[in-house]
Amino acid sequence: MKTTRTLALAALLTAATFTASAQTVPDPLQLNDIKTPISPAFVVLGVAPTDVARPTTPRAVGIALISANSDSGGGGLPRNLALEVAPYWLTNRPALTFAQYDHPSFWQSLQQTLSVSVATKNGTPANNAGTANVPSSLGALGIRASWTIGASSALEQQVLAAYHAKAKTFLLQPTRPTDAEVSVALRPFVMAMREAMKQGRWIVEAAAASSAMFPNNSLDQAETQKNAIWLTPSYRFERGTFNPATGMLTEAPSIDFMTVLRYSEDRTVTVVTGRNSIDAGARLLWESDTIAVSAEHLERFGDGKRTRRTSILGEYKLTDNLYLSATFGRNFAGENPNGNLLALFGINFNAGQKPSMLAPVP
Amino acid sequence: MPSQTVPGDTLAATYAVGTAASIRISAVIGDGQLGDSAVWLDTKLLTTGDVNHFDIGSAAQLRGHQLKFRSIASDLNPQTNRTSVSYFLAGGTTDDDYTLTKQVANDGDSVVYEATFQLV
Repeated sequence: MKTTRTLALAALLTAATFTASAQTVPDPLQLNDIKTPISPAFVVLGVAPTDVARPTTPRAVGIALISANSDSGGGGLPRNLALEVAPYWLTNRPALTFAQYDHPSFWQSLQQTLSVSVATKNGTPANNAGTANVPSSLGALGIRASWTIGASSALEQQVLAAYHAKAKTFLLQPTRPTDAEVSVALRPFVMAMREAMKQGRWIVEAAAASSAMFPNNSLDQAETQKNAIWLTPSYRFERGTFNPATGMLTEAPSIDFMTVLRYSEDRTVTVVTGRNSIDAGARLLWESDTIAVSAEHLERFGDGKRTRRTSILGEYKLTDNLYLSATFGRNFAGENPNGNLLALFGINFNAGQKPSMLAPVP
Repeated sequence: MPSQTVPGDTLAATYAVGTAASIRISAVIGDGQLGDSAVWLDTKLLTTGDVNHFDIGSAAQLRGHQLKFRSIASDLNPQTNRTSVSYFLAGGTTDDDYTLTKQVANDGDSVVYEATFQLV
């Protein structure tokens, strides 16, 4: 029943967001297009399927629902729901040129990638045995931003030159071309450009998040649970080949290399010496249009202890708005009282493909 | 004249060239989108591509003629479907700029903008 209620809520939120955006997406979506990025708020709650997430482009509004097998308890809040908002894109940016967007300054990059996330998860207070059965909620607040480093790849320059050449043929037509005919002709070049911009460049993402327990679902009794801050440099290898005549980018499945350095403070640990930890690790990701497979390894240092997590993550796109994820492996020692087996299944909804601000009603 | 934002993809306006020795124009494709422009003076093509502080001549040469821009803005930016083009004219009696905005219906679509200015 609870699952049904939660799914219904997610469906409502999804429908509401799509209604608000009022846009259509004619091209088949790839797996990466529909995934709501793993938000910092999810990570600090411990329900993210991976510990080393690739920096992604923030959408204006994204909602994700994921079911973790470690969850328990009831309560009024939907469990494992995350909302992420990228405020920069909620307003018009007529002065932002393509060159500034593609090669932003450090400050500009922070602005255009900044996103704030909130997440909820039902739980029970860990530090208070007397209230173990008290209905409670976990809430988390996260923030992230990234910086793209490096010159355009040869592939991007090739696609850009082909786009300009194609656009010029329409600019110089004796009569004004229609939006429809230009769109049809230029779309392959535009979509090729989107992908080419990601290849052969480093993206460094910084994130921070904090979670709190709300016993009795009361704000007055809030207790901070975890704080974390991390840095994620990643690199996508240049693997596409471009045909300037057709504008088509032949994409081999992408390969990304990601690393992470994270400091965490976990106040739910009853022994003071086990509260602080530093994670350092890496992830290699192979991704096609519908399937993504990755392997990651993290070493955890802190308060005289050293442990590790090694896992494999698989994701499969079911529909344009729904995908499944599964994580298997060995978790950090002490992460789960029932052992160090890591087995996490998720079903993910996505909403808010892009911020599409509705025109004001006259 | 203050900046003006005009919803839509077409603009017709006048520009007072005054007694300027040099009139300069720019066309800026905004919202991080990809695009290009072409500019004509009457039927003569002046330039194409990125139009940035382009000198189109003196007031005496330009008065009585028509300046025409055509721009294409393509929805490259995955974070918004809004496209915009801002046209700047400087050096005349006033420095004017107009921003035309239009949202594409589908991801990756393009918009053709046209703006004509009677130079008086």
